[in-house]
Amino acid sequence: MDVAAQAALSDVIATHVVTEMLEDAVRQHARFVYKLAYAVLRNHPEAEDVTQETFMHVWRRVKQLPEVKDQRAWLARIAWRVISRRHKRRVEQSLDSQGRWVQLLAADTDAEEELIQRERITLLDRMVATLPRQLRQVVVLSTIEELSGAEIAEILQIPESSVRGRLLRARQILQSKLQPLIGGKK
Amino acid sequence: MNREQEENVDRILDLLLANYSAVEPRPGLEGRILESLRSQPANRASGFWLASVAVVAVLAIAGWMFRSPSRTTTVSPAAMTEPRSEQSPTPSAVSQAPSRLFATSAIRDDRRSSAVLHQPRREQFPSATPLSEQEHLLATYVLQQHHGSATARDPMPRLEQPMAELEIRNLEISLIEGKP
Repeated sequence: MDVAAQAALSDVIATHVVTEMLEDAVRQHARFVYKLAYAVLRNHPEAEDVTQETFMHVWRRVKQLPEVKDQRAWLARIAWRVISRRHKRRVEQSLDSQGRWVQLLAADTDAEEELIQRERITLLDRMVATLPRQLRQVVVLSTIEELSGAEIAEILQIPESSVRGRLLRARQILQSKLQPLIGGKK
Repeated sequence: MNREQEENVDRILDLLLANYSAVEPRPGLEGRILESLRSQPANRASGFWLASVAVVAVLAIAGWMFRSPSRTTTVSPAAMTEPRSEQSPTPSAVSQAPSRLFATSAIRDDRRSSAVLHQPRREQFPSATPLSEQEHLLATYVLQQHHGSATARDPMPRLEQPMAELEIRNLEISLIEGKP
């Protein structure tokens, strides 16, 4: 076998290997990327679009895949860039009609469990939307159970201590917004 | 806010945050992604071929545009009627061409047209040529198959015989005998 044929064969084998690696990555991490996208965008079709686009980016640089040590963190960084491009600045929404939220938090969750849960998420959505962008990013990423503080730090390209500090500050703000609603329960 | 209230707020916040990103995609997400990834190489290939065809088309048009002015500038009605010896390209003639860019192709066109003009005019086109050895053997074989060995020995006289005129006889239809 001449040199050109050997090179062609090894190229075919390498392509096959990286294609299999990519397929494995899709099977292992597609849901994670989807959750990450949904946590920020709060929209299912958009989250799926972001997931597709993220793996398209991976496909374009698929030859780098064998060199990646932590695939999930690498994918999260790519996904975060895709999300950041798509994410439009949210219109800040005030916690209007307080009475509605007070009833919601006091509701007996045995009945209409799903509806109540959805409404509570909407409430939290609104509260998170009022946070400054840097705090909001940390809060949103911290709600994804697969992500550790170190991984959040890597995605946002900030020190891990900053992640902890921002998360603490964000929780204080959220608690202060939640307090009047819970207080009204009495 | 007392301690109990603080704990209560904390608990509710944890509860809300815990469910914030607890979502599942529509079933078959991985399949859909893999499907779109598999369609990518084909798209790239078709893009490549489209680009190739476009480049070839552009080159062909450019080539045609490059050549066509040379014909109009060099082949004049006078040149077509004049004898060949007077219209052979000379270095001075080429230098007098309107554009040096088309000089080479002009000479080539001139040579081609002169080669056609110097050939004698033939009665039949394409001109009748004697059969080659291979053609002769093939004809022999065909005649052996269809007309027997006697004619196959020398098929050429039979081939060169003029075709006899066809005679069309009157059509005769005999009556059908028998009872209806």
